[in-house]
Amino acid sequence: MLCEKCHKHEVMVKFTQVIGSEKKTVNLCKQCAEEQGLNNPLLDISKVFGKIIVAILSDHLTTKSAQETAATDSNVCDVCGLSWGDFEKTGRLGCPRCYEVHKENLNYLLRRLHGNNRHIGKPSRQVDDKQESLDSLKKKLEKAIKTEDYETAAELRDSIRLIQHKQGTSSS
Amino acid sequence: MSDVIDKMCKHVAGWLSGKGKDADIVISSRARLARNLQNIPFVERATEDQQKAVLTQVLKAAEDSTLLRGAHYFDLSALQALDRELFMEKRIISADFVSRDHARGFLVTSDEETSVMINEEDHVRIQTIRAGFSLDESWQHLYRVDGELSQGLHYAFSERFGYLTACPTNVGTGVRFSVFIHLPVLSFTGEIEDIFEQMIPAGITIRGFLGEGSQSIGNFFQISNQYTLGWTEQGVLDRVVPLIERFISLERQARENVMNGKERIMIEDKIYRARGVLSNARILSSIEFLNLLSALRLGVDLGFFPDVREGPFNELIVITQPAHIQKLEGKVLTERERDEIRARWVKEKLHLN
Repeated sequence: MLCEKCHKHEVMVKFTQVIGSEKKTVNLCKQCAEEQGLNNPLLDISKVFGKIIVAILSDHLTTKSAQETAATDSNVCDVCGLSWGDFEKTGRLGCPRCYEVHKENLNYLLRRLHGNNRHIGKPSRQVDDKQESLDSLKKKLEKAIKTEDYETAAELRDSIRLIQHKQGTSSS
Repeated sequence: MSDVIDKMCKHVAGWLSGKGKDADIVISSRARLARNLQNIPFVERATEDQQKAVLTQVLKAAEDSTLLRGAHYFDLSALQALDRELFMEKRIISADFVSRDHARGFLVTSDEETSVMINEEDHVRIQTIRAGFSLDESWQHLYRVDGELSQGLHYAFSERFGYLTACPTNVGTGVRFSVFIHLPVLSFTGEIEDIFEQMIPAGITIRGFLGEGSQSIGNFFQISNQYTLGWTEQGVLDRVVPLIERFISLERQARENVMNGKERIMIEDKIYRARGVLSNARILSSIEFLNLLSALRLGVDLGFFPDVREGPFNELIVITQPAHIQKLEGKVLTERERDEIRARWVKEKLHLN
């Protein structure tokens, strides 16, 4: 068997990735294995397999109707200008706002990637660690007032009020 | 700065110590987090000014972190190619980070166990690596670093999708756990093929060398979580850890079986040959070396060589990489020259003769 990268030399290694029940193997000669960094066994070498997202999307493309495609794919992010077509090429979103703009399309992809599309892990600091962040926010507020940084102070005051409000509602 | 790099070059990171739980089989355990700042496009779509703003903000937040106190900061554009590669071989930064070309830098603690990449694929990538099977400890430490760092930063977060990342494979918790595990006997007997086929639950990724008639490189396998969304951090950990424990016990069982079975002579032959070559070779390519080291390591685990210490095995894997050899020797070397030095160092470090 010949190396699937250079198509010149005999295969030396078969490097395999299993994600759940999906198995993928790349067959490489010694040279290409080295070029891909496989001779450093403690490195992350996931990129050998290409982007999982691209594979899922091309899979999905064949099952989507033309109408569906046209309706959701014409959305362009109003912050960074990324279209769904751009995303399909790179597998990378452009900015946090993209998650809102491309929500419809993402739902399917996220389900395929994670078996799920709703976060239940650690909440962000603004929601979590209320006590700790409240104290540190108050300290920062004092500092901001002392240094006459009123813009920051106003922001901090808003954050403190928000947390206090949330605490009030959660404890009642 | 070059003084610091020279010093780090000779320093052996804690995660290479070969100590810790199940360290004969599990090399290292890593936890990493992906985070992005609110209101700034992800790195690839950010302007240079925005990228610089990210650097400034993250470094400022890091100053207030007690766990990152004393960490060294390196601006990637100020580093020479060989130094970048050195940090990559040390697993402080990723290969992807090295090859990019925009405003970016990284922080690394003096024990080299925790590092923060700024403007990799995401604005912030934090990781903690520990020796042996220690995902819990790595995660606990990383969680605290994240807590401290997030005090000074506003992360992009949505109630629905969690922490927002450039690639949807990381969205949600942004947490990736991974271990490198050494499975020489499961590879030798071919059992690993069946395990790969049958045992891997949804949400877990495993990478490694398989296939009859082909070679392995060092018999290492990487196990990590695929899911980051719809699971709590602990939930993911509770899924990954038992799987790793299963691999460890299967490898131990396979070792016992082979030692008591007909194939023992085959394994012994492989191990003693490996010692013979490592003791006598004058030229060692990286791939040959890794395969021989795997066999020698197994021999030490099985009690064949009381005179060889397992301690330097992990360290050797890293210091015999190209950038390390050249930095330690203080000059640019050809592949052949590196192969010679590798052969010499292995004998010296392991006291083989």
